This record gives sequence, structure tokens and C-alpha cells, in this order.
Amino acid sequence: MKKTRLIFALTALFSLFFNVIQSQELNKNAKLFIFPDREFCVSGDTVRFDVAVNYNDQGKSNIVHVQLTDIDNRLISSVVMRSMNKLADGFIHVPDSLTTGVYFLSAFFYGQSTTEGEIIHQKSLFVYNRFQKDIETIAVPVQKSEGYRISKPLIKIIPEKMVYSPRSKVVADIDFREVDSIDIHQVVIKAVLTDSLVRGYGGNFWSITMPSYPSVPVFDEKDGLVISGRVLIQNTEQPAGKALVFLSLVNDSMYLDYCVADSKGYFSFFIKNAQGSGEVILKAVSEKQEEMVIQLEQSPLIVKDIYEKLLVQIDSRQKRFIEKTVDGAWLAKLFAPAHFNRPPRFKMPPRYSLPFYGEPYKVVDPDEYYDLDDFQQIARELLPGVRYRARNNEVTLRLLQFSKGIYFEDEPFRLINGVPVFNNRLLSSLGTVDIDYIEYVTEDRLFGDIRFPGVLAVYLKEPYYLLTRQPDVLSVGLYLLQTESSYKYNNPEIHVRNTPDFRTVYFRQRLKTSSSQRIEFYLSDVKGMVEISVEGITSDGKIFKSSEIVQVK
Amino acid sequence: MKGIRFILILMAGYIMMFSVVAQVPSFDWHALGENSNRLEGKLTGTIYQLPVEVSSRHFLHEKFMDGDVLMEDGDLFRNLHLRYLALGDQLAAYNSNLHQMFLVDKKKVSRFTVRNDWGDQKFVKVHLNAGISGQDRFFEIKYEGNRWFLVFHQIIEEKTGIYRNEHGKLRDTILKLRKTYFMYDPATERFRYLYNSRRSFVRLFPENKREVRRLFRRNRLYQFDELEMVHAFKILDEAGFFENN
Repeated sequence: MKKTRLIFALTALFSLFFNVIQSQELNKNAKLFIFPDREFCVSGDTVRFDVAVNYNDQGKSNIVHVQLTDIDNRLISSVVMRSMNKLADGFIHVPDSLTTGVYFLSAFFYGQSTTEGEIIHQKSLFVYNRFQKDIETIAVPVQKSEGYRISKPLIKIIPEKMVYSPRSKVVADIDFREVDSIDIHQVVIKAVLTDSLVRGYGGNFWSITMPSYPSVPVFDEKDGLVISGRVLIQNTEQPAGKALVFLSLVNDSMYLDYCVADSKGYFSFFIKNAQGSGEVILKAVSEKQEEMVIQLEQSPLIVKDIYEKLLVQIDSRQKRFIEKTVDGAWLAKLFAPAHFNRPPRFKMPPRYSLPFYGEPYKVVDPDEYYDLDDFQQIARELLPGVRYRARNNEVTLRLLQFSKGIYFEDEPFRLINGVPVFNNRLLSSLGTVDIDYIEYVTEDRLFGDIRFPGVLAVYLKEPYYLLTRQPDVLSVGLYLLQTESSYKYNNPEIHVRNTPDFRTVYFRQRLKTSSSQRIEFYLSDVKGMVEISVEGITSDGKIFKSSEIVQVK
Repeated sequence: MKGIRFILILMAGYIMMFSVVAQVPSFDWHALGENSNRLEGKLTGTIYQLPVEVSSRHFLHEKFMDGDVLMEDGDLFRNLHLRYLALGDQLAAYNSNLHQMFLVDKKKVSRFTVRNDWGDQKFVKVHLNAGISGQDRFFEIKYEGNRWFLVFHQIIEEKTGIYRNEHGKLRDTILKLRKTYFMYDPATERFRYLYNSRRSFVRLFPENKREVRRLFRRNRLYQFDELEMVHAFKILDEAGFFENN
């Protein structure tokens, strides 16, 4: 009997030792840690977060991807932001249509998504759908191995009282005196409404990556983001022998990039320093002039093992909590001043003072001349060195190479509003009233590995002219780098307002130093458990958390 | 008769085919491959065709050398084939996929390095405000401290007696490389001309002529060739002469 006990004890000790070793290994390799402002939300909410970068290679990527996935790792939404001083912050909208369940927020670098075996830190997010009531069960994730250990809290949280009434002021002291400040890399203090379901099954999770496709191997995003897609022959849906994809920006008609698709038809672009929401236009051309179809592909972070699920019965108390939370969110929308999340404006500083096609030989503003009905007349009257010929129902364009005094043998590279066009008929009907200005280059230009026998760029007053006339052009709206947004959590004005208050996040502050301090915040009308927590990572990349619960009755 | 008809039909067919493919982009598909996909950006420029009779005498470098180009936006193009076109103050590069020489857009270039057999040669683009016609020029940067020692390489045409060149053509000019030396203050963006003489250096410090002369003597600087000029800059900088001047 004693022998059996000893074997059990040894096995338990070994498994504990193995877990600790594994946890240290996991923590050591995690490059990013995400700290959302809440652990549960109602569909339609916006979740804000901080991302601590535990990665020393400064010369590499500074772009952080944050994604919201469901329990089966299906991508719900994602945002991209720039990190500065080893920190990034942003927000992600939780779609209104999202069903009740447990979701995950994860932060990663692009390079991690293309590599196998990278450790990703994830935070669970319980989402309650606004229109989904009478929930009996909820599937919660189970971490297969205990992938992390929270350090024994040395940080003391000392609230003034343990029980508060709604809307009262909470005062708590955060005592860091027993912690060595050098050991702390990032600290977030927060006070949020919590419940037993979230506390019991939510928190930190860890997963291991699998390489995603399409991807650009060994590429670090610095100040920009990679977008990928696939181009196929329209009729056969097979990749073309050789296809060239051009990318233009609606908001910046001087921008152009190209990518030669690989044998499977995949292509990638890197858009640098573009912030906000922008519209990209993709245009493909193949060696054999097939009709092409383009699609953008957003690949989620692929993880090795999806978490095991445990079906948890929701008791009446938890059910009441969910109902109250959902009603509160609905009422908050009713009473709160209208707040529209407009898509952030597109911002992109020009890379160079010169367009990609070089210094134009001539810039022509047709408004300065008398009206001409079509492009043939414009070329003849206003564009010296441009030869436009319409013969046998075919239109040809040639530019004069002034340095040699002869016309180029090939068609010039033609652009309408910055989008390449390979059909001169699109130009034919343009009159002076349609055109804002024309630029043309009469030199033999080089753009990477593409030679332009002159460039003719026509800028129209109507920005969407081309999209309505070219079926093989793909126009896609994209959220590029997230613009900075400030949000006040502890707004004292809220508490004096004569309207109901349904906040569930009361206080949030990021600290760079671990200095002891006193925090103060106002509660809302919502009753329940409020968790005051101090969470962060140590300098050697280990998560720590210390928390205290106060009751609101 | 049938034969003529056949030829005419063939010709008409050819003309029609030509008119159909006329709008097709004239990309060199053989040059385009996955190695054309530089995600950070593409190098742009103007194709430069060198007349046969001038051969390579327009360039500072006899042949294309490996080198790097740093653009104005911080983008670094590594391992290109570069040559400095000293006749027109342009950076020439060779696109090995297209087999074309081209002049890199000068407005976009900030610096470039050419790796010679004897060492690296660094060039920087600086705006030289020479009288009315201020312009950006590529200077070889020999020393980079509180003051920069810059060399401007220029190929000039010099009048000679009439002679027959290697192509059998009569010429009355020869191409010659001229070097102009400058001291450049990056803080104030001011230039000072320099000659390869000790006097030229001493005149830079009218109030410290003695000290400068003594410094040169101690460091055994007498020749004031390029190597000694670089050394002179270094010791003057270390001695703090550039801090107040």
C-alpha cells in the first residue's frame, strides 16, 4: 500500500515538474501578450486591449495583428496596429451577429503566422448575443496542458471596503512594495464586473502555430502590412502560367505596385505606412491574355491543436447575470449619446516626391483649353508627342521618345486614376469635361522588372469611372493600420449624469513602473462582483496576476 | 494568281493580328518571375542606352560593381549592380532580369555604396546651393563626423588637338575625371571648397592657424593627398576644431 502511494506521489511530482518546465518554455517563447479591457462582452461591443511586446529584435517587425476567433479557430475579425516602445494598443469590434459563446483574442506578428511552432498567448472573451436568450449550456475551452503559471502575487490590492452600493466611489491601494520594479515589464490595473463563469473557465490560453497560406516566408512587417490573394483564370479556375497583379489605391492615385503570382496563383503586397480604411484596386494580366478573376484571402492564425470543449450547464444565477448584462447593454445604447464608429480616414504619407513613373514630360489641364469631345482630339490638340490612331476599329497609342526622336514601337503604360488599363477604348470616349489632368512621360521607364515604353496617366474628375467599365478589376475596402484612439475609462462626469449607468469596465490604467499608488473609480448601477486586478508580464516574459473581489449590493 | 491571293490573305491576316495585339501590354514575361516581387518597393528609373563610341569613359567605375542603395524613405536595396555616371552626376544600375542599364531616379535616392575590389565607396546626395542653380549632387563621402569630407567626381570634356579615336572618328575633345573637394557642415548645410594642400586646411581656421599647423606636423601630414586629407579631417574632429567653427 505504501509502495503504491509512493508511486502515485512520484508520478504526481513528475507531472508537476514536467508542467512547470513546459510552462517556462512556453512563456519564454511567447513574443506578445494581450490584455483586453474585459473578459466578457455583449455582441456589438467594442473591446479595447493592450499588447505587451516581449521581443528584443528591434530591427524586425513592429506590426501587431490582433484577431478574434471562435473556439474552433474560425476568424471573426482582425485588426492591425503599430507597436511603439514594446507596446501596442487598439480596439476590436465584436460583431452584433456573433452567437453566445467563448471566443479568443490573440496577438501575433506576421512572421509568427508563417512559422510553425510559435507560441501564441490568447485571452478568452465570453460573448453574449443580444438576441439569444434562454441559454442552457455553453461550450468552454479546456487547455490541454497547463501552459502557464501565474506568479504568486506579491502585489497587494487593498480596497477601502469589501461591499459597496451602486454608483459609489471605490478607493483601493495598490501596494507594489514587495515587487522589484526591474522585474516588471508591463502592468495593467483594471476594475471590471465579473461572474463565476468567466472566473472559472476564462483567462489565459496558449496555442502553437502552424504555417498559414498564402504567406510570404521570412518577411517582417515594418510599418506596414501584407495583403495576399489569389488570381485564377476565369473560365477554368486554374492558375495562369504567368500572371501579373497590379495594386492601386483609390485614395492615392500616384501609388502602384505589382506582384508576379506564384505557380498556384497566390500573390502578396506590402502596403507601408497606410492608416485607416482604404480602398485598393487589383488588376491582373496574364501572359496569354486570359480573363482573370482575383480574390483577396485573409488567412487566420492557424494553430496546431484546437482546444477541447467542455459543455457547462448554466445555472439560474449565471443565467440571470447574462440576461442582466444583455439588457444593460441594450439600455446603455438607448440612454447613451449616439456614438457612431465611422471608418477611420485613410492616411498615407507619400513615399517620394516623384511618382513611380518619374518626372512627367508634360502635365496638361484640359480646363485651360477649349472643350474637346474625345481623346483623339485631345491627343491631337493638347498632347504633343502622343500619337492616337483609330483604324479598323482598333485604337493604337504611341509616345514619342524625344531623346531619340522616334516613336516607341510598343503601347505606353496607360493609367486611368492610377489603375493600369490595357484597352485603349476606355480612353476613346473621354473628353475634356471628364478629365482632371493628364501626365505623360516620354522616356523608356523601368519599374522594378517592368519596362514602360512611355507612360500616359489620365486623372479623371469621376473617381469610379474605371470600376464601372472594367469587369476584371477588383475593388476592396481594407482596414489598414489602426489609427490611435483615446478612450477615457474613469470619466467622473458619467457618475453625475442623471441617466442610468450600465458600465461593466470601471477603471483601467497602464503602468510603466511598478510604483505603489491609490486608485479611485465610480461604480455603475450594475450589481454583482467587481474584480480589481493588477495583471502584467515580468521582464523575462511571465504573466502575473493579482486580484481582489468587492461586492456591489 | 492563286499564289498572289494566298500571299495577300496572309498579309491581311498578319496586319489584323498585329492590330489585335497592339493593345496588349508589352511586358517582358521572361524577365518577370517571383524574384521580381520585392515587397518593400520597386526600384525605378529611366533606361539608359550608352552610345558605343563613348564606351565606359562616362563612368567613375570601369564596370558594374555590387552595391546598396538607400532611398529617401529609408528603404534599402541590397546587392545591386551599380556604377556612378560621372558625366551627368547620375547613379546607373543594371537590371539583370531585363538586361538593361538604367539611371535610378535621383530624387528618390539618399545614399549608395559601391563595393570596389579595394574597399567600399560611399556616396551621399546633398543639395549644393551653387549660386543661382542649386541642385542635388552625389558626393563621395570620405569622412563623416562633425564635418564631412566630400568629393565630387565629374567627367569633363577638355579641348585637345584633332585626333582620330579608336572608332576612326575625328575628335577634338577628351574626357577627363576631375575631383572637387568640399568640407560640409551637415548642421548648417554649408559647403567650403578645399584643395589638396595644407594651406587650404589651415585657412579654414584663421584664428587657430598655429595650432592646426602644429597638429599636422605632429601627425606627419605633409602630402595632403586624399588619404592624408581624410586623416586631417579625423584629427581635426578629434581635437575639437569643428565644434566651434
